[in-house]
Amino acid sequence: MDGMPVVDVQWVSKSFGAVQAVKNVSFNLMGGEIFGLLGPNGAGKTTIIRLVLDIFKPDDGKIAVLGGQMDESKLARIGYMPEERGLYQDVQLEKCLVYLAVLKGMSKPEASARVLDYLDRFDLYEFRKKQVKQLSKGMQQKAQIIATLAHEPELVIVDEPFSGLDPVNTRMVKDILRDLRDQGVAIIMSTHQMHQVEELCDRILLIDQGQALLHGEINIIRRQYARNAVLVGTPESIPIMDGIVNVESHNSTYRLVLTPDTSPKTILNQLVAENILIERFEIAVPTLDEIFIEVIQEPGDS
Amino acid sequence: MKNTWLVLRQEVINTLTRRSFLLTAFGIPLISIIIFGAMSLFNRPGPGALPGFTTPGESEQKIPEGYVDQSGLIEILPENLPADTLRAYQDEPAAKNAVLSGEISGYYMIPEDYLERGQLVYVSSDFNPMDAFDRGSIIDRVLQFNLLEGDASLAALVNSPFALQVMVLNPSTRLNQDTPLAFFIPYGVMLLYYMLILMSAGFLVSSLNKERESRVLEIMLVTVTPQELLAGKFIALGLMGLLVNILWVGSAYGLMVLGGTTIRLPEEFQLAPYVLIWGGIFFILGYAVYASLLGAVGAMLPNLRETSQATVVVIMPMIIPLMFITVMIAQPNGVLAVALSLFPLTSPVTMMLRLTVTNVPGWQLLLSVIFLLLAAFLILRAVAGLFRAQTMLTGQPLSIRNIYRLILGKV
Repeated sequence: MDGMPVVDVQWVSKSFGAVQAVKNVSFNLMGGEIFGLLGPNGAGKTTIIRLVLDIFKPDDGKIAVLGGQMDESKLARIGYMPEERGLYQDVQLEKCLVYLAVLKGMSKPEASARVLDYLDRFDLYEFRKKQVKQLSKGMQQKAQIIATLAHEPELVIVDEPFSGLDPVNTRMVKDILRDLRDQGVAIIMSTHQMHQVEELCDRILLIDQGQALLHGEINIIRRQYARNAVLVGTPESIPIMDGIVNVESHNSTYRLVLTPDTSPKTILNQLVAENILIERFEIAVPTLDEIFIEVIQEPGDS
Repeated sequence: MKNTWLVLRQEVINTLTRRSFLLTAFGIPLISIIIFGAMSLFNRPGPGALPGFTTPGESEQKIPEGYVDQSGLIEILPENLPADTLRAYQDEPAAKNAVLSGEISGYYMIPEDYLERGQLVYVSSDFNPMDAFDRGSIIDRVLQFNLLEGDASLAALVNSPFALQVMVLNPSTRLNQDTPLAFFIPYGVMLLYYMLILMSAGFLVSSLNKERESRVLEIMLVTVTPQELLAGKFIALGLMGLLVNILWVGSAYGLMVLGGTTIRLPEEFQLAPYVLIWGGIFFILGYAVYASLLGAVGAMLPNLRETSQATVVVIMPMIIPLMFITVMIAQPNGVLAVALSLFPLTSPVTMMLRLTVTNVPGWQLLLSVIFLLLAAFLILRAVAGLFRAQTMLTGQPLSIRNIYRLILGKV
């Protein structure tokens, strides 16, 4: 599998009646990578995931998963957590998780040991004999994550993995995803929480109305969307200077938007010349949130 | 195959631990047994009572009855008559006083011309319609006994002249049409199989809908193939239906056997064990046909409301035999009954009706089973195309065009 993408989606389209849910979308995902699938509600993220999982068949394009066309033999190598969570509500938590892991090809003793280990990690061990419906929403969310990961999949697809989790458990899930990535597992993460994407993902695909609007490495995308602006940290006020279009201030940090022909170095020189105490000086890069809003609101600009 | 087995096992466990299933499977036979047991207890002969003097309600009869014999016919009371059941009075005023004082519940007046006219008069203090059912049974036996000059054996023989053993030579032999049981027993058997088949097929639809509504379906469809999922459920819920079949039919059979001794069910109405075996066969095949059809509906339609509406259409053929039940009971080997017992969508219940009413020729049973097997195979093959992940997850509106497109895999 080395060098080969774990998921390779090429020019895929999918329609439901008159509605075109996905239009010519392409991306790939390598092992040891966390890939962010972003987009507003109804953008087509879930449809893309279902296409990758072979739940839906594409109208056009090709999808290769784990080295070839998706088939039933690969189901056990995939862990999937859909946005709409679902576990057998009337079944004991441990039994439900072991059942799902065994269905994914694990032996029962192996599945039991793995599930108990995860239950312990997620502080659910004492609730293992409870029926799933007796657990809180957050606990069910953690149980769903266990169901996704217990069988040690090579490809993990998680849809809004942090929804319903408190900060402690969010951190734990992040750590687990990073560990999996370090072990070579390929992860597709669909979410609205941009700061989680910035923290975890290496590359992203931003889609809207079924079309890819942005695709690539987060750092490159952020630089592409960076305006000619700098962030200056200083306890003093910044005077009006040549080459500055706009000044925004927040907690002793100024965001200076520069004219196109003004370089950050010129501004830094001017600030030094003005004898202003500079505690911080950096190129202002937009957050993914800002890029997301900008791209979604004006898709033509991308 | 392994996943099918795992799904099957889990479905069996889920079903067996569901309270509603347990109530249906065990509750109904249990209630029937309790009711029948109570009836049996109610009808049990008192100590010392002999056949011929056991009547419904006797155990409640605490106050004796009296008689005034003006004909001089009664010279001796049968030895097996329970003590103080029937008291003799010299004349009517004495008997009347005994009634008014509560010594006896009523008295029979046997007139002088009884032998010519055969009439008796019964006098009681008030009218109780419940007593009317068994009134006269004791005096009847006493008179019979005395008319036969005290010959107890002859009296017993007159009372029950023969034990009928039925030997069937002609397959068209039918139940005695003069009794309401001739309608109610076949009707009950037909209704039982109608309920069993549709209930078991309904388990599958309900299981699919439940998984879709609880969002487990999407997880399952990326864990096992739709075919493995449905095969596991199909077999598991068929087995559960068979279990209910065994419990219901077994208890009904037991009660009918018990009925032979408890409520004197005529022997011709006691079902032969072979009927139960055929019942099992027709249940399994009927389930295969209807579970496939209803499973396809459950897999295809997006929600419970639409599924329920479509289910009515799918089960319509099963309702047809119920509409013609009177005709088929009257003519169990008539053209209509034979045709409906061979047509696969109606045969599971119609054949059970015919087996209860008459002796069905072997070739018709065999042909019916072959047609059912063929239909089950063809329907399963046709609807297999519907059991696809996309169809099951998204649901499709019910239309001929959609069914055609789904089967051809064009959706």
